[in-house]
Amino acid sequence: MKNSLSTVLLLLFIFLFASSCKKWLDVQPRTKVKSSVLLKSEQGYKDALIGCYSLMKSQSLYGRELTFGFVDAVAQQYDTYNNATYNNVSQFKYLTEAPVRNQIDNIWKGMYNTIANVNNILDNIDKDKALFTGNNYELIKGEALALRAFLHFDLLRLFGSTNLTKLSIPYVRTLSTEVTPREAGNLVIELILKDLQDAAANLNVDPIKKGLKSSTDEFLNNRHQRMNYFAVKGITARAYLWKNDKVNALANAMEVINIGNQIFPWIQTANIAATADKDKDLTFSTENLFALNVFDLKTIANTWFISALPQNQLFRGSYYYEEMFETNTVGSNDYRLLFTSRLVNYDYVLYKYYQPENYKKAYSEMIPLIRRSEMNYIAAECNVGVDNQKAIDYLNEVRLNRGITIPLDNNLNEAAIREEILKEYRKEFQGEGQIFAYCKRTKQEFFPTHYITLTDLHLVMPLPDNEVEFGK
Amino acid sequence: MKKKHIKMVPLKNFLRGCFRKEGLLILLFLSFSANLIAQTVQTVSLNLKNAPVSTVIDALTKQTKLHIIYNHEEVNVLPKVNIKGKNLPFRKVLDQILAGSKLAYSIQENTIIIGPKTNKDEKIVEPKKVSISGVVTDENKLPLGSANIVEMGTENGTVADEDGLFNFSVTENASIKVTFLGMESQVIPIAGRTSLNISLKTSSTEIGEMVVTGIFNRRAESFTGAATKITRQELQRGGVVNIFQSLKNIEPSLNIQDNLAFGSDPNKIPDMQIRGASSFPDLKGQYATKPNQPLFIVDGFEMTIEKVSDLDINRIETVTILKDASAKALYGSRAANGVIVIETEKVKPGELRINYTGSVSIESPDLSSYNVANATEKLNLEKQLGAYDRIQPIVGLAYDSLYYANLKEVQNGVNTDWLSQPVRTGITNKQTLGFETGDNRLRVGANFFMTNTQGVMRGSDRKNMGGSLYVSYRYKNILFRNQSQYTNVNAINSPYGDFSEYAKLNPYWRTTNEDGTIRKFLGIGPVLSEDVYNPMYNATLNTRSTSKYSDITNNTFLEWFINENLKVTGRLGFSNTVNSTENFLPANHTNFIGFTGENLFLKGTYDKGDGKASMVSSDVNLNYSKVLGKHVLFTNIGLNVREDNAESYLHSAIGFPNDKMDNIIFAKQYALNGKPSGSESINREIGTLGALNYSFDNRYFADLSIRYSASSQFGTDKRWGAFWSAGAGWNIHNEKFLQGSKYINLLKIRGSLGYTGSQNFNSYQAMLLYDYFVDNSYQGMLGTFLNGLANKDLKWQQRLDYNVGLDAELFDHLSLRLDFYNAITTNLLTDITTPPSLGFESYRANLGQIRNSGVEFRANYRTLVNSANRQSLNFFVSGVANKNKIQKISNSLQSLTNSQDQLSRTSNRPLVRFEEGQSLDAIWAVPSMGIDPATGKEIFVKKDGTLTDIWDANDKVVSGINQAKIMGNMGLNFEFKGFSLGVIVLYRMGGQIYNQTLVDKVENAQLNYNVDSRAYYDSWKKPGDNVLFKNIGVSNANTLATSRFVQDLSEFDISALNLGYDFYRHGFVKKMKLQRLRAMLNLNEVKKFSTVRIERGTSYPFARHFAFTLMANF
Repeated sequence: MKNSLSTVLLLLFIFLFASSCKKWLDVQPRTKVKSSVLLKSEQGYKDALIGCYSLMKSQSLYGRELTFGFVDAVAQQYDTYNNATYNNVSQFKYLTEAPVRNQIDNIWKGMYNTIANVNNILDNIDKDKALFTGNNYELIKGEALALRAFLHFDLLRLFGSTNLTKLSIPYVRTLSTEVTPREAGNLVIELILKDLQDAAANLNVDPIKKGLKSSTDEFLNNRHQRMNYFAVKGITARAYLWKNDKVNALANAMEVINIGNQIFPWIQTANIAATADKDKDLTFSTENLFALNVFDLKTIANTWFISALPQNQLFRGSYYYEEMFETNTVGSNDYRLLFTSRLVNYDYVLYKYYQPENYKKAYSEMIPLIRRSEMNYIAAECNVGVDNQKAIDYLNEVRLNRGITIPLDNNLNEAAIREEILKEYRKEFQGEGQIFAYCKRTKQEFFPTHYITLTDLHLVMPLPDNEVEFGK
Repeated sequence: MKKKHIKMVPLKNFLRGCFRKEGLLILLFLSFSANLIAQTVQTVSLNLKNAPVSTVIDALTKQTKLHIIYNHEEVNVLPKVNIKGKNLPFRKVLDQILAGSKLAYSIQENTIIIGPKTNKDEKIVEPKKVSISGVVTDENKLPLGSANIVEMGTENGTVADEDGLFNFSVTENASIKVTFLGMESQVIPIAGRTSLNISLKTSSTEIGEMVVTGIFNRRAESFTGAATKITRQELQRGGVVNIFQSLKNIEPSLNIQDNLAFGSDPNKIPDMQIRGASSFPDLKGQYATKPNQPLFIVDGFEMTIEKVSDLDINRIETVTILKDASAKALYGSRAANGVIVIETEKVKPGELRINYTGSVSIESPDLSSYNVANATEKLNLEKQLGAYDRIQPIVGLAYDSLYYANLKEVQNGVNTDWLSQPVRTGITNKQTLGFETGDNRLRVGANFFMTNTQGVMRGSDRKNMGGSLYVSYRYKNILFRNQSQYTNVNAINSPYGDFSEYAKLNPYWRTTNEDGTIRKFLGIGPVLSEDVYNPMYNATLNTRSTSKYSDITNNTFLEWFINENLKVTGRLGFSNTVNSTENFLPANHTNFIGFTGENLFLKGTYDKGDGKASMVSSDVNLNYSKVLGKHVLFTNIGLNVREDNAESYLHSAIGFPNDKMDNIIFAKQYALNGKPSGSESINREIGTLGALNYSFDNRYFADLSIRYSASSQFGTDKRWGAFWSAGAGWNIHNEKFLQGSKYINLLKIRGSLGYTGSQNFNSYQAMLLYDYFVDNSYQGMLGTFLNGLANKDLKWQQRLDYNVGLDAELFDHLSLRLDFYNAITTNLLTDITTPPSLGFESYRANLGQIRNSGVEFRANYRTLVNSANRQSLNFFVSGVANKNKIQKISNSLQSLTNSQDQLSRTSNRPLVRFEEGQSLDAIWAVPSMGIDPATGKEIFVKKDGTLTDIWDANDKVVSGINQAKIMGNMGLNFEFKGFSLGVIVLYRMGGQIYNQTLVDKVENAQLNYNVDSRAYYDSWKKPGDNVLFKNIGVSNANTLATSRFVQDLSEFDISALNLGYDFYRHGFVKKMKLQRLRAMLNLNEVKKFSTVRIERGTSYPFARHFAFTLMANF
C-alpha cells in the first residue's frame, strides 16, 4: 500500500517535472540572440530590419559590385586593362575565371541571405502586430516587403533572361529549409509586383508622403535612405517596364514625378558648384528616392577611385568619357562631367562617392539606388511613339537641371529619342549599376562603345553550382 | 595506535533489515529447494583422488547448492579421500568422508552442519537453549563494536558492545551468523561451545560479483551486456604513468591511437575510440569534443577526458568499459561511443590508516625511428645533386665558397646530432598520501596527491596536485556520502618548440659559437640560399607557453533503504573548472626576424586566454528487487538532469621589445585588427530511465531498459529521444546436465541489442540565432543578422548495437570471452548543403550511416595455482578485429569529398574521402608502378588500366586501410611468494599506413635541410637506376598521394614489463606496524618491431618509461 502510494507520488513528480522542463531546455545563448527572443519587441523588429540594410551595403552587394563594381564593369564603364579585379569581368569570363565566378556566387548568396533576413521579419510580424506603436507595424512590414521585391528584382535583372518565359530565379517568400523552385521570369515579375503593391499599401502611412524626410525619432529619420513609399513607386515603375507594361510603368513614374518638386527637388547649382568640396552635393541627394547609407564609403571610394592603387583604380579614358558627355556639342558644362568626375592625367575617375574631410552630413555616405531622374526617363520611354513631345520634355527637364542649357530638338524621331534616353542613362547613372540593366532590357546590340554582340551568355549570369545541383 | 571503535547506538533495526533482505533472498530461494531435498535425493558426481575433505565439501556445495558449514581445522585433519562415481547421493558422500572421525553432520532447514559428534543420538529432541558469549574482532584483533550476531534461521540475535563482546542464548547446536559492515560475514556452528572468539576478515568488497555501471550495479551472473572490468592491480601492470597508457596496454577494444605527431607529450590528450569510429571525422569543426570520444564516468558523474587523464592512477579502484547496448543503456543518450566507468577507492572502516604510494619514473626519448643523414652523407648528397653547381661563374663562386665552407666544417668533425639537442631524460614523481578512519557509521578519508611529470622535450612539464576528502555517514537506513576534490594542473610546453625543427637541421651546422653561447644564425641552405636560424636560440629567451586549470568537484550521494526490497538513491554532482592559457614570444624570437621598419615595434606577441566551465548534474533512482522462489527481479526507475556551462575568451597583444617584459600589460598594442574573441555554450539535458533485470533460477536472465531523454542541443520539435535496449542470456553451467562437469565450470551465452545516442556537438546548432553587427551601422543604428538556418527537426544521432557474447571457464584453468558485434550509427548529424537561395549554404540535419562490425576475444589460462605460497601463473591473449564501412553520406560530404580531391592536387599526403561502401580509414591514392629506371619518373595506372606519368586525382583508388585487421595484446603474469612478474606485448596485424617520412624526408626532401639517409642511398640518380624513390634533385616536385608509399603495417610491441615484490613474509613489516608493503618496477615501451620504418613522434618524440613504485599501508 505504502509502495503504491510512493509510486503514484513519484509518477506525479515526474509528470510535473516533465511539463516544466520544456522551458528549461529552451536554452538562451549569452552571446547571440534567439530569433524568438529578438522578435518579441518592436525594437527587435527594428534591429532586424536595420540589419537587412546593413547586409545590403556590403561590398559584395550594393556597397560595390551591384553599383559601381561588377555590373558597371560588365557594362564596359571602365578601362580595365590594368585592373586586377575587373579586367576578367569586363571580358565576360564568368565561367572560366574562378575569381569572377566567386564574385557572381557571392552576389547570389548575399542577396538571398538578405532575403532570408527579410523573410524572417515577414514570417513573424503579423502575429506580433500588437507589439508595435504608432505606424511602425505598417512601416516595417512595408519596407520589408519592398526590400524583398527589390532584391529579387535585381536578381532577376542579373540572373534572368529578358525572355520572361524562361526559367529564372526562385522567389523565396519564407525562411525555411524547404527549397523554393526556380520560376519563369513572368511569374517572378508578378510576385515582385504583388509584394510592391502590398508594400505600397502598408507604406501609405509613410511620413515621406507628407514631405517629412527627417524626424527626431532615429528610426523614422532620413526616409530617403530607406525603402519609402516613393522608392516603392519608382521600383514598381522599373518592374513594369521590365515586363514591358508601359501603361502601369508610366502611372507609377508619374506618381513620383507629380510630387517630385516638393519632396525630391532638383539639385541647386549652388549646391553642386560650391567652392569647397565639403559643400558639394555629389550624389544630388535631394533627388534620391532611395539611397543606401554606407558608413565606410570613404574607405571604399579611396580604395577604388580617388586615391586607389593602380591595380584597383576604376577609370575611363578621356576620349570616350568626353564623347559620352558630348563636350563638343552640348555637354561641356554638364554638372556630371564637371563635378562628379575628375580628369586625372588622361583618364576620368568618378568623384560621385568622394567623401571629403568634414563632408556635410546631409550629403555624406550615400550610394543612390533609385533617383527621380529615372522617373523622367521612364516617362519619356513610355511616351515615345505615344506623345513624342512629352517624351522630349521629360528629357529636357533633366538636362536643364544638369547644366545642359541647349534643349533637344522637338522634331526628333522615335529612334533619336531612344538614343537620347540611352545617352542620359549613361551620363546620369555612372557608378550606379543601371546601365547594364537598361542595355539588357532594351536589347542593345552592344554595350555603349563596345564591339561584342550581346547575347544571354553575356547578359545572364550563371547560377552558383550548388543552386543548380541542389535547387529545384 | 591502539584505539577503540567508537561506541555506537545499536543499529539493530537497520542491520536486521539488511540481514532480512539478504536472508530473505537466501531463505526464499532455499526454502523452495529444501522441499526438494526432503523429497528427492540430491545426487552428485565426483572424481577426486587423494583430495582433502574440504575440497570434497566444496564440490558438494557447488553441485547441490546447499550450505555446508564446517570448521576448516577440524575437517582438514581428516585423512585424504578418493571418491569416484556418478549420481552419488550426497548423504552417502558425507557418510564416507566422515566415517571413522569424531565428526558428524546434521541437516537443519537447508543447511548442513558438520561438527563434533554429540553424545546424543540424532533423534528429534526438544531444542535446548544454551548461553554463549564471545568477542568479535577484526583481523588485527581489534574489537568490532556493534557487530551483529544472529542465530541462523531465526530472528534471535544481539549486537556486540564497544569491546566487541556479546552474550546471548541460542538453541543448542545452532549456528550463528556474525556480520559487520565492510567485513565478510561468518557463519559459525556453536557445536557445544559456550565461548567463541570470532575474527572477521575485511571484505574485498562486492565488486567481484557486480558489474559497476556507475548509476547502479548489476549482478555479474545475470548481466547480459559486454563489459570489461579492470582492477587496480591489472591497471598497474600496464603502467603507472597515466591511466590511458595503462588502458592501452590492457584493453584492445579501447583503441587508443598512437599520436605519430605528438608522441609522448604529457600535455596532449590521446584520441581513442571503442569499437570503431561511429561519426564522420571533424573536418569542419562541428563537434565540441572529439567525435568518437567515449563517455567518462567517475564515481557516478561525467568527467572530461582531460581530468580523467590527470586522475591519479593509484586512487583508482576499478575501471569498467561498457561496450554494447545492454551495458551502456543506463547512459543511453550519451553513450554511443562507449562508456568508461571509473570508481575511485572508497574508505574502509577501521582504525586510522595511512596509505602511501610513491613512484619515480624515468622517461627517455625513443629516437630509434629516426634515420637522418650524417654530415658527410648530407654534404655528399648536396654535391651529387648539383646543389652547388651554377652555370654562370659569377654566381657559382658564391656557391663554391659555401660548399667549401661546409666541407671544412665536415672535415673539422662537425656532425651535430640535432635530434638530441632538445630532448632530455625526464624524471617524473608521483606521490599519493591517504588517511582513512571510521566505523560502520561514520567514515572519513583524506587524500593528497602530487604528480610532477617531466616530458622528454626539455622544459615540457605537467604538474598536478590536489586533494580529496571523503565522508560517509550512515544513520538508520540512510547512507550519506560526500566526496570533494580539488585539482590544480599546470602544463608547460617546451620552449624548444617543435621537434621537427631539429630533425631537419643540417648536421654540418654547429650549435654553439666559439665562446660556448648558443648560435642564433646557423647557416645558409644550399638550394634556396635561405637563412636558417637556430630553434635552440629561442629556448634561451624568456618565452612562455603554458596552460593551467584548477577544478573543484563535489559529489554527494544519498541512499535510503525504504524496506528490504526498495531503495532510493540520489546523487548531486557539481564541478567548476577555471582554466587559462598563455603564450608569450618576445621580440628577439626568430619568428620576428623578418620585421623591419615600422613593424619593428610590433615584434613579440602575447596571447592570453581565460575560460571556465561548470557542470551540475543530479539523478534520483528507485531500485526495487524481489526474490520469489527461483525468480529474481530487479528494477530501477530514475530521473536525471544536468546542465553544462562553458565560456572562454582570448586576448592577443603585440609589441614586446624585451623578453623580460613578460606580462601582457607591457604590450604596445592589441594585435593588428584584433579584437577579443571567445565562445560560450550552455547545454541542458533531462532524462528518465527504466531498467529491468529478471533471472530465473540463475539459468535464464534478461535485461530490458528504456531511457527517454531530452537535450537542448536538438530541434524544438525533436528534443526527446528514446533509447532502449534488450538483452537475454543463459547460464548453461547452471543447467542440470552440466552440473558437476569437471570440464565446464562456467558457460554463459548472452546477447543484446539497443540504441544509444551521442551529444558531443556544438550547443546551438539547431537554433535560429541573431548576432548584432558591432562594426557596421546603418544611419547610426546597429542591426542584427541571422547566423544560419534552424532545423526544428534536428534529432538525436543514434547508434544501434548488436552484440552476441560467450563467457566460459573451462577445466578450472581457462577462461574465455568472445563477443561479436555489429553497430550501426544512424541519423548521423552532418551538414546538408543547400541551394544558396535558402539564404545559407548549409544546415545541420540527420543524414548518413556508418557501420562498425567486429569480433573481440580474450583468453586467460591460469595454472600452477598454490594459494599457500601465493603462487600462480597466468597467460592471456586478447584481440579485436573491427571493420568500418560508410553506408550513407549526405550531399555536403559529397561536396567535401570533391573539395578534398581539389586539395589533393597539391597535398603531400592522402586526404580523407567519403564514399559509400568504403571505410572511413581508407587510404586513397593513385596506383603506382614505381619509378621508371629509364626516366626516373613515376608510372601511374589510370582507371582504365593504361599507364601514364601524369598524376590525376580521378585515378585515386583505395590503396590501403589505415586500420589493423586484428590487434590486441598478449602476455603473462607470474606470482610466487610475493614476487610478481608481468609482460604485456601489443600486436597489430594487417592494415596499411602511408609512409609520410618517405614522402617528406626522402622524396620531397628539401636539400636546404637534412634528409632521411634513404634519400642518400635509394633515390634515382641516373638512367638505369632501379630504385624506390624519384630523383629528389634540386627542384622540389611534390609527390602526390601514390600507392608507392602505402605500406603493410604489422607491429609487435613489448609495451609493458613489470616486476613486483610484496613484503608480506617479512617480519619487519609487522614490526613497523605496516599492514602491507609492496614495491614495483615498470618498464614501458620497451621495444617495438614494425614492418614499416617511419618517423614516429615528429613534433614531440615518443618516450620509454621506467618507473619504480612503492606502496605502503600503515
